[in-house]
Amino acid sequence: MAYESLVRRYQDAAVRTAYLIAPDGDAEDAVQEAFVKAYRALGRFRDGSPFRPWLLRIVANEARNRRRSAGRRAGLALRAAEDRRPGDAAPSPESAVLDREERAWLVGAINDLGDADREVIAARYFLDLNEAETADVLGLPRGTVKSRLSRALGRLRDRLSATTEGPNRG
Amino acid sequence: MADVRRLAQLPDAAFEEALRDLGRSLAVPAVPASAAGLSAGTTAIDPARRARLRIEAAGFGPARRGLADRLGLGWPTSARPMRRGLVLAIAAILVLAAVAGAIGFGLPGLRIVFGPGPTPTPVLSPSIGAASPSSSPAASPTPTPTAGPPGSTLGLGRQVTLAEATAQAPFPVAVPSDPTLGPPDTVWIDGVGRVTLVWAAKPGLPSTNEPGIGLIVTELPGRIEPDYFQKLLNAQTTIEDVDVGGAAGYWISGDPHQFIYVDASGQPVFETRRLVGDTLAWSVGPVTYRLENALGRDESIRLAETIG
Repeated sequence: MAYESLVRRYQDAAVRTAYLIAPDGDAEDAVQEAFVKAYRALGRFRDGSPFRPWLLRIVANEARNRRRSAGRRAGLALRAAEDRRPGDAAPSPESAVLDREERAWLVGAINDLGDADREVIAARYFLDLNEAETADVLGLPRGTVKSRLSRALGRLRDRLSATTEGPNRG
Repeated sequence: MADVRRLAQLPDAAFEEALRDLGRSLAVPAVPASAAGLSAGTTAIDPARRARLRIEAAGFGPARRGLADRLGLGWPTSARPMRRGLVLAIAAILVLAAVAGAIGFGLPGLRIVFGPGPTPTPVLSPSIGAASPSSSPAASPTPTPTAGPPGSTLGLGRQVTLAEATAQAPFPVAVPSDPTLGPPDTVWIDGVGRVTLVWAAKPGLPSTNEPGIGLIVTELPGRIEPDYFQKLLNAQTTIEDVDVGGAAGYWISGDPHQFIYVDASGQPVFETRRLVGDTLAWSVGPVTYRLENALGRDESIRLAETIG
């Protein structure tokens, strides 16, 4: 298989990973560098181990290396289309379906978390990786993923409980 | 205004589901258009699109297609332009391919790709080509511009004698029997059993893109698979089905290109050396042969048919 076809197949996932792991970095540059590094390291990739987590780990590393200083942080944002969506009916108290305003609050609260918390939440929920894959991609021991995720979710709930103002859109 | 604090009280499963749902609403940078739009059509591909085409074309599945279809890669007007960064990544990869060692990796899929070649890049491996200067032809009619024997700058592996290559290669080494050609000036074998025979340029054997080199015959322990044959077009590269002594062959001319074959274990292997000229490639059993020269198609086929 031509390497180009691997790039083709995984570039979407790679860009998404880079951006969601470090939204304030240069995702495209991270992905470019990651593909080049992965190419150089392909010799170590003959044993039939899954390519995707291996690649995404390199991507995540490159993305982190491009993280800007906290002062310039842009953070995650909702798609513009979300803003054009007509207002949803008010969700029932236990519904996982969020309306637009709730999403904005939730994004704001996640952006306020520390990098480690954000990363594990992004990997597990936004990239939809399982715990083992999250460990691979973030370069963490598997046991650490569970505990870190649990603490991150706790802190996220704390921020949401403490919320008294409008969602942080910046 | 919704009571967003309800989010903090969601049961764990609902909270996690809400986060997954949020993930689907997040703005993520746009990625290039899918490969779906690639279709048969014009062969005129402007240079700016070529790099993208390399990616798009690689998205083809292994479905059998006519060679002409593959030659006529058209361009859908609806496709969005490839983003520059990823184009650069591919370009960088192709340059890397010129200097890296042979790379094979075990993924199913395409079996052979002739892609656009990298720009000429010096071969960096210091272990290559320095051995056995004594077997250098003393009177090469067209001296090479470099100090070493013909082929020493191409990263062909260890220089050996023809007898040594025959003893060490995992297949019988065959030499063209054309009397005007004579024996190769240098013989090389690399770590994966590829044997390369090099003839210096001389009257009747014009120089290839590599000054001083007239003919290179490469014998690879592997095969090219027309079922999975894929052409990643450079606008100036053409490929043609030819018959080489009854075997299916491919004549590739025009711009430099890259070459991928399938080794004995079924692994696709990137040929990382830049090719020096027009190329004739064909397989006989488990061995693939490749001629590079500046003689043209018909003379190449005639020469090829003397190999045995």
